[in-house]
Order: sequence, then structure tokens, then C-alpha cells
Amino acid sequence: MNNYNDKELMQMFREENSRNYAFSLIVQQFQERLYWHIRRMVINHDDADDITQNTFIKAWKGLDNFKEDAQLFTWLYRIATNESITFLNKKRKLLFIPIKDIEKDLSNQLEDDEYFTGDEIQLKLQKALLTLPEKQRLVFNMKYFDELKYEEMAEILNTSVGALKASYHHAVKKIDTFLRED
Amino acid sequence: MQNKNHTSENEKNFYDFLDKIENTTPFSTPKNYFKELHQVINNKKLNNNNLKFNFDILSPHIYMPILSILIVTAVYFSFTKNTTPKEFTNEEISLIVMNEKIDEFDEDLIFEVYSETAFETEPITDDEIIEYLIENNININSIIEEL
Repeated sequence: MNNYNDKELMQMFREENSRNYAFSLIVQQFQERLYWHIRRMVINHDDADDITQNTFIKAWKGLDNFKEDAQLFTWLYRIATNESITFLNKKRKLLFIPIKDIEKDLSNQLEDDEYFTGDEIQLKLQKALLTLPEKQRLVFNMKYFDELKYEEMAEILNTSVGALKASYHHAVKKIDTFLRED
Repeated sequence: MQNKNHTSENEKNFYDFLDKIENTTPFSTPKNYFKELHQVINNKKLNNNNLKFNFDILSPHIYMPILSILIVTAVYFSFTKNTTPKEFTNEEISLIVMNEKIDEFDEDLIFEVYSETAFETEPITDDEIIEYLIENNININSIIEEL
């Protein structure tokens, strides 16, 4: 599949006869990166699948209002992040349990997950990540796994580079402590 | 100072540790998941569009059931309104009698109605009867004679 740039994709999207095709290209171009970002947040495949689909449906509805001064990828990433956080909050409210226990529940799910393919060290790292506050986990995932620049992360999360660096630093320290104690 | 050095050495070791772990996500998906995902999303998007179209109020799928419900409700209310007997107040009955110049009355019916309303009032005590007789200067013996 040819990779089109944002301008080309948006140009096609704005033309009535190529609108659906353009959207299909957008989905194909970004689906994997968004899915993995969501999956790392919610752990379970079925949940990640639902959230990925909802993310693209929201994008389809809002693409007319997309301002091209931002990158399409960061805009989609922001929708995916919001959807994941909303999902975790809903789950917490539905089960009447605090965030900490949701992460504990996700940690237990990891061990039984048929789609977890990591080794023992990776399992430990994932468990350590699940002890972090939601925002630190998000920042760590984006920096470590997605290898995003702080500037890109700042645009997605609507925060400053300094705050993100501090969050990442705290996250790393906490993971380190967790792994040493374990 | 020594403590600070120790902490930064720990951190350095940890970053080295992170570098050693592969930073690929340790999860997998069902087979062909990504091949089918864009198709699933496109279908969902189309369903979403159809759903939007279906809620157009001008669509017969929407206005026909609404219209049917309104007709059934109207018929039901007009039917129940016509079959429920109307209860008239005394004033209304008087007006009807006066305006329609009804001069033939069923006396038994009138007596029956008045005796019913009489029971609804408070019972008359003996003192009230005696007072009435005194006020109207009625001799009790004349009543006994009449009876």
C-alpha cells in the first residue's frame, strides 16, 4: 500500500467521489499504530479492538473539522488516547473499584492472556507499568514503545514538554523500584 | 553527594536494562486481524451512515409508525370521552330544566334525589325540633291530631 501524506489524504477526503476511498486509506495507514497504542493501555484484545473501531468512527465523523495545521497522526492518536482513558474510567465506575484495582485486574489478565507473547522480563515490565498512575503509564508507553518525540507527545496530550519529561522520569524511577523489590 | 552518584548510577543501570529489553509490544492479535480490521471499520462506518439516514423524520420508516400511533391514541381518547357518563351538578341541572323548559317531572325521582341529599346532611337533634316548633308557634297536639 502506498503511503500518502496528510495533505494528499485530506485532499482526497474533501472530494465527494474519493471521500470513502481516502478514509479507507487513512484506516489502513494508521490502524496498526493506533491499535498497539490502545492495546498497551487496556491490555485486553477485545477491548482494544472495540476502542480502535470507535476511534476511527469518531475520526470519520470529525474529519471535516480537522485543521491541517496539526498532523493527522497526532489528531488520531489524541482520539485514541481519550477513548482509552474514557474506557478505563467507565470500567472503574461500572465495577465500583478504584483505578489502582483496575490496574491490578489488568495485571492478572496479563498472565492468562492467550495473546501475550512476551518473555518473563517483558511480563515483569508490563506488570510494573500497571502499577503506574494512568498518565505516567501513557507517557512511558508513548516514549518507550512508540518512540515518539516529546514535542509530538506534548501535542497529543496537550501538555508541556517539561511536564512530560518529569512524568517519564518518575515513571522510570517507579518501574526501577518495582523491579528491584520484585 | 555520594548518594546522588549512587542514584544516578542506578538510573543509568536501569536505562541500560531498558535498552536490553526489546521495546516491541509483547502482545499478539488473532490471525489476519489487521487484514480484516479496515473492512470491519468501513462496514461500521456505513452502518453508522445508514442509521443516520433512518432517523430522517421525512422517511416513511419513521413517520408512518408515528402517524399510526397518533391515530390510535386519538381514536382511543375520543371513544373513552363519548362513553363516560357525565355527572351534572345541581346548578347545571337547574339550568337545563330552566332553559329547556321542562315541566314534566317524575316526582318519585325527585323525592328519591332529595331524600338521598337529606341523608347526607347532619341529623336534626330533638332540641332543634323543639326550637323550630316554638319559633313557628306550632302546637304539638295539632300535629298529633293531624297524624
